[in-house]
Amino acid sequence: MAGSLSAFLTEVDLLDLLNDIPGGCKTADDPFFSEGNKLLKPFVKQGVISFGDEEELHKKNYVLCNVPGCNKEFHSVYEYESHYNSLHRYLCHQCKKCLPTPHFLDLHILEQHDSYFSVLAQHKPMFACFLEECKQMSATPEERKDHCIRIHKFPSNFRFETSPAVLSKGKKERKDSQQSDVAMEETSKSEVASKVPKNFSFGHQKQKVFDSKSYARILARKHKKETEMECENVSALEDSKTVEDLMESLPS
Amino acid sequence: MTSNDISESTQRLREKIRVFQAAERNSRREDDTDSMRLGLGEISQLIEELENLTEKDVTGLASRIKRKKHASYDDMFRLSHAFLQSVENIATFVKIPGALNVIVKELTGSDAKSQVIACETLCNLSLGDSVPCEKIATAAGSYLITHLDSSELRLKRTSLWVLTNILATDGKGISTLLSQEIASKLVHLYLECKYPELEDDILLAIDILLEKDANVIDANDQSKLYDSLRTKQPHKGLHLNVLFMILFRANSVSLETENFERTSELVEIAINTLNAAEHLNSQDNILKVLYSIRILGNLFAKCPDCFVAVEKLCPSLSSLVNKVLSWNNKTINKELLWLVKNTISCQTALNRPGNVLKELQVSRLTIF
Repeated sequence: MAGSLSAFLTEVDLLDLLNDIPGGCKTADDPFFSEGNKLLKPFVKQGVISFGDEEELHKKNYVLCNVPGCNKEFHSVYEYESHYNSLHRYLCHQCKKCLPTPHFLDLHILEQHDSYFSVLAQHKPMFACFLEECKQMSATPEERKDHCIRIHKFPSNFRFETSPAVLSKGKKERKDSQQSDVAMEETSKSEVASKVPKNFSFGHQKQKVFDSKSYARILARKHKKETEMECENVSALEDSKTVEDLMESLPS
Repeated sequence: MTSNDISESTQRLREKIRVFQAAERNSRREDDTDSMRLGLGEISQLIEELENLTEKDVTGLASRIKRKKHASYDDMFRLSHAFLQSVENIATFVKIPGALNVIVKELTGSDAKSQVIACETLCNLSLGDSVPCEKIATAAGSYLITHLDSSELRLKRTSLWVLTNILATDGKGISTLLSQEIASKLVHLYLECKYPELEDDILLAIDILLEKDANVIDANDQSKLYDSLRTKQPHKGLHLNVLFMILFRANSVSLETENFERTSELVEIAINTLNAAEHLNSQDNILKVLYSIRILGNLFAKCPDCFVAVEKLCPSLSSLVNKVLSWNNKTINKELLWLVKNTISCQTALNRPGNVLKELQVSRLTIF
């Protein structure tokens, strides 16, 4: 019994021990907790591995996507669900565009299909940031794009950009640059190009098709002629009237 | 023995079996999901027959996807496995300009399967050092954060894993993600999470963020997170860890402004966790015990009034302390004695009779 008692610290021993331990409130980075923190395993980065064999199990099951106009076939329900969640979950019912998240769908519907929004957007900043957590409102889609690139370090060619204005501008810029490149090339080759005839014809000089441009040209010419004739008639009438007036003014 | 007694005991047995089976199912599920994840180089040890992909193979694959401006499932699978095999493969891939952009293109494309595989490839690429992590954050950070809102669970979870790996790596990657409001996004994701299996992963990412800098999560979000953690009855060590970090590191959820009811709830969580703990054989149990002690100790030091809640919940605190002391863990015992010291100060402040020290059984062998 005495042996077992001696195995434990007495009250006096404990009091001495407690005097050595600092009391009070401590934060997680306090040196007192450093030994305890060593008990906790640090986070180890982990990758992910997929097992391709799993697909073999589902090979005979075919699932059809029943969304009108899709009709894709899948080997497993999982694949179908995955496809549906990625492509048909956040779908704009008006223009059938698929968006990746509910936030992007909200933005799309507001900006593309809401006339009240377009009226308001003329008076105050209405274009919300692509990040749901950011409350910044921009006056134009371009301003929003700038904000996202500058503040949130988005890539300049952000692929989930929904506004057609920004998209078409980007495309236009690319097209313009391409055209200017082409133009530069063309000016250098202009002398050569001018000597080359536009088209060759072997036997049949006129193309046997409906040429809308030439037809329009003929119509325009005809219209011009008619207007000229009308003008001539009007001037002739005016001339005859003046002659009559003069005749009347002469003394009898 | 009456029939009533028998039915009661049978019911108890059935309940116990049910609880045991639920725990078994949970642990198996965890094992299964864990088997999907591997550390750098582990794949070669586990699967010996696996094709050994060298830096030359990675260069070939990267050039191929660059030339085609498209990466097939097979290309991405092979790249993914190559990244898991060695850090040299990762470094080789990162050095090839334009190859990463092809993977990012697949991540944002319209093929659901391709999106998931591209995300897995990025996850394995993020096993590298700060350079690949920075590149992923710059080229794909915004898309990965967008995919956190995806209704496709696998894509959502893998995106979260990539982001967690980047957060765990020192470098510019973290600042890029922080500028994309990842802190706020993670908190909202946790608050609105419908998948219990995802909650732990989100909390792990939040924990890593808090470890780096507690102030990256703003006061409002911290308060929401704290409320959610408190009401969800944290049953895992990680939950207690984040709760402790928010309370005693971030310093935005001030305990002085907390009312008695709320601090009592915190005491209840800590006492219940200590009561339920039976050993220290797992990381989760160590986390649970350690953070319960830390939360109780700090609560006693900051709000002595909460000791009233302890008296109600656990009339004999010394027996609970003795239980933990009996596990003979020197480090935990040291922190336990700090809790005892704070308890004594608490009792003195509230003029409570009794002496905890008399009932304590502290073994000489397990103290320092």
